[in-house]
Amino acid sequence: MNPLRYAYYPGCSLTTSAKEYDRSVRAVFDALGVELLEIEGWNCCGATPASQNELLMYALSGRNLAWAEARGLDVVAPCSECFKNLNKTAQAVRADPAVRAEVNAVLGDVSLTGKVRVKHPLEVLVRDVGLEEIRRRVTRPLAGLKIAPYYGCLITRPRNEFDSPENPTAMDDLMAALGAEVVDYFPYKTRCCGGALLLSNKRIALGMTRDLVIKAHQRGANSMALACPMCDMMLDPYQGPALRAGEKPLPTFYFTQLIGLALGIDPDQLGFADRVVSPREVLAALS
Amino acid sequence: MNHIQGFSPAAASALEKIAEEVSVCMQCGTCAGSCPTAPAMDYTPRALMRLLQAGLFDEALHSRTIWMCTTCYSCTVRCPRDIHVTDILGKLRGIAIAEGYAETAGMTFNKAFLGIVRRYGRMFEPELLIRYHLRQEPLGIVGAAPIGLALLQKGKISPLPERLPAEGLAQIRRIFEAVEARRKAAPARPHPMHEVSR
Repeated sequence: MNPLRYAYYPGCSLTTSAKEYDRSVRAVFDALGVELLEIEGWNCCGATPASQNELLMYALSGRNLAWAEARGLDVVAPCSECFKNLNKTAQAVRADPAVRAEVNAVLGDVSLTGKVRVKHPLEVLVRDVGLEEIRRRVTRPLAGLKIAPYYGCLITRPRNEFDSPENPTAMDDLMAALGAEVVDYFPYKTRCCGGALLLSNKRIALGMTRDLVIKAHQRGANSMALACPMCDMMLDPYQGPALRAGEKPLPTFYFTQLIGLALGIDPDQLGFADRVVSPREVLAALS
Repeated sequence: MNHIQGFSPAAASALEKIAEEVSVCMQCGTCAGSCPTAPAMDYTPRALMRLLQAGLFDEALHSRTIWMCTTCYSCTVRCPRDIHVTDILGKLRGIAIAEGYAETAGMTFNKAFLGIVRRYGRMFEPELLIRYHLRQEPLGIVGAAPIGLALLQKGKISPLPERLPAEGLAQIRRIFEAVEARRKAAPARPHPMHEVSR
């Protein structure tokens, strides 16, 4: 079997607020023998504001995709927002010759044929590497962790090719393969954290985040697995402001940090010290 | 009366396309029932679709609804008519900005965000925060300070922007310019529905 190899699009958050997501993705992929080639000179995908002009979103995303396509590689994008924009662009350029022509006209010196595919790391791990392979490599089962798997909005919506938009299960299966107890977190697992409104409508956004924490506690979780830097912004640094006095905080992790831990990667390499809600207690209960 | 009147040709053309897409909406309300922020909207997504069907574009563009959307796409994946509700709200945000509607908090955010992408090729959060708060609730920056400091301590905020190399930046600028030129050049396509009312 050919070794797995992808173009890697970190996106802006993974260089700053979500740097432990970047570190843990790279460490886990490396441990599993999956090669990631960072896209040279990648640019911001435009995130949510680019939704105001579809062509702008396609072109900003497309410039990154063109690098990968020229090298015959598919793209891995860990940030849900970037994943959504890049994947939407790849799908539109592939499906619609008129969109492809327009995007290429705007891009000018690079172009897309539509061959490139975009994957979230969750898809690569569960489908391309495979749960069996990951289970086989677990050296430190996560027994004692009761995880609420939180997918957020944009991994499965509006459309991807690997999991249900209503009740996705890839992260549930993955966490179970690591030996963790997975709590039933439907339907909150895909309910919006409000992150897009953090600046413009803070009170509403924090209320949406608080609800997710309360529901996770009610389902018996002692931690939460995340896959998006914006969800993380809400559920880690802004969890304190979201909760009311006396309400219990819930440690949250990027799902790749948890995989790294289970694979026996040195926790210092996985950025646990970067978490704002202290994970010390829940991690101590592990061993 | 032609409801598209009063807009620039580019906006009128975009609104025509939106009107065409929402013409199949049967007002089932699945979008409104799925929307996590519908209670904070003046028009639910269903009501907004109705405004668009009725050609009440100005009301739709003035609505709080388009700026309360978190782009969670719950409405879109559940719409039995396959209307891309989330994307339509996004397009309406773009039209509201281009047509000079009164600046909302969300509009300030979008403008500041895309301005930074255009300048550096990448996001630079501290500038986004400052630009946002200078126009909307300047005192909010004080409230954001404790978390900002915590993130700075953990090395999660960069004090300086990371710019693309000059060649990349030039490409990004060309993309913004080409997209804007195309938006303005969009031909006004007459739509049968509105020709009747003309």
